Amino acid sequence: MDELHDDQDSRHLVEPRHVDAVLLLLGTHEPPLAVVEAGRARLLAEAAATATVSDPGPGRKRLRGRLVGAGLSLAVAAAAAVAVPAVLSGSTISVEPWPTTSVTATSVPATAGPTARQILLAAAVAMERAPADGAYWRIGMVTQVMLTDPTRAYVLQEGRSEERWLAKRPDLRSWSIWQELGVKPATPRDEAAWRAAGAPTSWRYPKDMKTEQLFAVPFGPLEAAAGERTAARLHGRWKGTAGELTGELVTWQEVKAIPGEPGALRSYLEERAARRLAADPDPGADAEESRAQLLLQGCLDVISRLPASPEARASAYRILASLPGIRAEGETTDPLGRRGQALGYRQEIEPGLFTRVLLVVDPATGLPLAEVRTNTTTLADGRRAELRSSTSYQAIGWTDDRPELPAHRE
Amino acid sequence: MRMTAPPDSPGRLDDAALIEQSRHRPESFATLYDRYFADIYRYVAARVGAQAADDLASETFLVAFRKRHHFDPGRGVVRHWLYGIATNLLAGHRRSEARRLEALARVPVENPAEGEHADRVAARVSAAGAGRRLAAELSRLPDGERDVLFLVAYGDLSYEEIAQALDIPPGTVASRLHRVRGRLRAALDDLTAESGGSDG
Repeated sequence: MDELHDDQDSRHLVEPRHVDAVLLLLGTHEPPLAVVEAGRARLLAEAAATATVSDPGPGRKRLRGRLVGAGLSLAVAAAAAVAVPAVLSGSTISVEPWPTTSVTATSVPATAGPTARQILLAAAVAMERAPADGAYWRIGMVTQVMLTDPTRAYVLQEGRSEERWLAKRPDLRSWSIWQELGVKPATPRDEAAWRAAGAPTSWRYPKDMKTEQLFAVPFGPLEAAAGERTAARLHGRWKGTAGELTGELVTWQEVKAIPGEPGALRSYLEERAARRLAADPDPGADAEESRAQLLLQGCLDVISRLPASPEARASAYRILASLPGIRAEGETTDPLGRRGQALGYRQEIEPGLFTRVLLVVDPATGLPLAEVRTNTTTLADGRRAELRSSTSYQAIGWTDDRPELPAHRE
Repeated sequence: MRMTAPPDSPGRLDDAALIEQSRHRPESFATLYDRYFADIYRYVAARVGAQAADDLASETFLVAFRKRHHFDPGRGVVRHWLYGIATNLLAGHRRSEARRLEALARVPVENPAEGEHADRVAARVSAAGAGRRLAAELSRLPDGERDVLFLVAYGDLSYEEIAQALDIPPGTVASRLHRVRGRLRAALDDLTAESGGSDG
């Protein structure tokens, strides 16, 4: 049989570089220790039960329910596995009721606080008073992403600031101004582990690094030092566009046509979702769920990204207030230290794997302060660590200001 | 990166002997678990994600344990038999697998201004594009072709071994692999061109 293998080695039929591409795409997931132990305990329990009977007949169901139950509760405990959220912005999301397990029970706010609906409706009212025009549509944001170092000994946080100045008038230029804010250990505990590792200021990731879920290995080295503030004129496919709606660029005319009335806006977003699903069918997914996901993402884009009318943005909040999966989580501090009201929902990033998303809103202005996605991972020493990625908005709205352009250009 | 069965050494019970022994001493089966759980987990996790793999990999060994009386050492080795059981269990999760691949195929690329980003980001973007094409192609593969591809990629199984694991004729494995190869070539030609260009 061994001789047969030499002749008919299947690796000759699938080229090694194709195998490598598949491994790189889908990752090599090592079983967490807790999973190995839980599975072993499950098997031994079954073995122990079998030992007392000589020859179990087929179909016998001893202990099975209880053991499967134990396995499932472990799966729930591990439900917050990991993912790198940088890739999540337009992936499928699932709006579902929160599970009633203890995993989330602690984060359910006291009944005295405002409900998600009240917060969203207050934001809608405030949003209606926002300025409706200006020379530029400006978005300022800070993106922070956590990832482990290549040895998985500690967690790093990578930061980047970006301003987008989009000019509707043809005599003004549209700009993107950004700065890499550098990479540093995420928490004091990570800083201690980083110092113990010799306080490196550059991290190079092996191409075949074990990855988890949708984690993407950085292609080049990460550098601790901040970069230079840099400006670029928006051109190419961004010329004449006013931003993105559920992952697709839209023109100023299209944004102007976004309906302001809540019912009409909902129909508009639902029709868009149906068109997109028809053009790009997703045979594996539940169609209704996909539509719900696109509706939620559409509302968030209208609120936080697009120069839609104040009425449309207020209506987007009202639609969000009507969705079942959004929960008020009480007052919170966003990644830039600002106080706001937190609204939570879950996003399904792969079947059965959810990330927790917090939308932090300033009810006084109606503006979103931040979107924070949290997952957890297990480090090399077994410690569970949170991986947070966030987009914090410093500005969203019309302005007659002009961008302060740095000398450095691209 | 790819795991193969550890070589049998003197003083170490081989897998078939362990199965035999487990008929009278069921706890012996745990040794097989220790030998192959990580292999099976990697294979399952690549297909349905780590979350679902926690349960499915463990379920594979429970099913194997219950079927240990039916294991026939004349028809292949324990490791490949386990891959076959895992593949059968995965058949109940086709929808999850397709959804995961579809999600990977749709991960958006955020690059506001063409050419504005650092090299690193550009490299990520082009790699993401190729990854999306690969994910899309994998999601379009017929189930049987996807099975054989993943048994090669994650299990490092040969023709004969796949045929034994899935209980199908070797000729069927060969023709499936042949079609997979053609499809991957078509999907990945661009990938090779791009990654070659972005080196350094």
